[in-house]
Amino acid sequence: MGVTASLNPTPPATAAPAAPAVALEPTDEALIELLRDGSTSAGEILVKRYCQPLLRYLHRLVGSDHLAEELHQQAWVSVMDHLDRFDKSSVAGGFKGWLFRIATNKANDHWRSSGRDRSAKQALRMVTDSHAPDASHRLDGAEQEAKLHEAIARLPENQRQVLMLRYYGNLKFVEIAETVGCPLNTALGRMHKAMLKLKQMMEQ
Amino acid sequence: MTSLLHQLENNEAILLMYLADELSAEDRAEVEQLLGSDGSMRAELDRLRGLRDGTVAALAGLDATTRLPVSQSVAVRRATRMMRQWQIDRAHAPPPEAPIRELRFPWWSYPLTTAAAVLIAFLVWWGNRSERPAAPDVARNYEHVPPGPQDVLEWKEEMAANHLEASLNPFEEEFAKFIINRPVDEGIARLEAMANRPDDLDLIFMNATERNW
Repeated sequence: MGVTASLNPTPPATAAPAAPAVALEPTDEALIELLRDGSTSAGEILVKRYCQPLLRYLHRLVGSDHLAEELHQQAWVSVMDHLDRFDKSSVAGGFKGWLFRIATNKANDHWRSSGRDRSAKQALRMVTDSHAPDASHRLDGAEQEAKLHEAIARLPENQRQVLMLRYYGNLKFVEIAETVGCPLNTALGRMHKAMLKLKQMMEQ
Repeated sequence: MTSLLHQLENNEAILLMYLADELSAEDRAEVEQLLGSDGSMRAELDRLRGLRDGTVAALAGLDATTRLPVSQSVAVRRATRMMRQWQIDRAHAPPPEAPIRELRFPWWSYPLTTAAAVLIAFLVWWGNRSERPAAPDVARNYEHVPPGPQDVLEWKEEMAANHLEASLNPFEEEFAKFIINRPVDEGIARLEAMANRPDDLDLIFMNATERNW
């Protein structure tokens, strides 16, 4: 059973493929080798492969369109900078795990530099500005959507990271623990709490 | 797959790992055995499964109605352009500086060699210092008494000068001063007169007598 199925029985269209869907598709590692040799087209395939889940992941973490896109580019710059040092055997989750770890670090760097409160406010402002339903067109579905946005924004940062790494990165819990730098039990505990809090806030 | 089951601290962790299918076959079998015998654990599993499915459904619904921060084509184009630029920059970057030549010998050999050199230099200095010029051997000096009277006089002067220069024995000095320009007999008499200091006189007296001063 794939990792995706464990959290997500019906994988979202945006989630990264758990395994290559077509046998002829080059693996991440093969593309990395080509990219090391200077092939930009190999890089383009990699970017396309992870663009949606990575952008969604960053967007859920930072809550800003502009910032998510900025961090997405920064993550790929960092990939290029450290490409020669990437070793599949030493990174949990292979290239995907490495990429999401880089993206997570970029988001953490942003939080550290700009301050946690400001980001939280920004996320909440994003929720209220662009997703809060207009009173004249208020629908139950839209209300739920806005509520969920707000609930995600209110999750503690470390719980949100674990939940989003699981959902968008399709990483195993062991890989998530390594990515965020915590014990496996802690990662599982954060996942459980994040799901519980989302449920509670949605029911309020 | 290594066994993780006994590293997990509580039922939630065990069941989340079970639901995620991240346990080994052996661990799964053990969990299923527990689930078969423990009703509360089965209820907990159902609760977690519902929680997980609800979260997944909620996030999937959110993604379906939320646009990407930027269109995928734009994001890919920007990232690819950045990659191309990165590679151009690297191609035009100055070649890396030649690595500093590594030491030929292990690092510890250098202080060791220095210490050994200092020690050898000290030993050489010490050896030279202890090799002082030997004190003139009075007995040896008197071994070659020349035959003629003129030669005896020169020899005596030379001996006297040597004794004076060495100045190691006050008596030798006194005796040397005395015998210069004096007959040998007087020298012997002088030596006999100074017999109250036999320890100092023995050597010279014996030599002088043996050579018929």
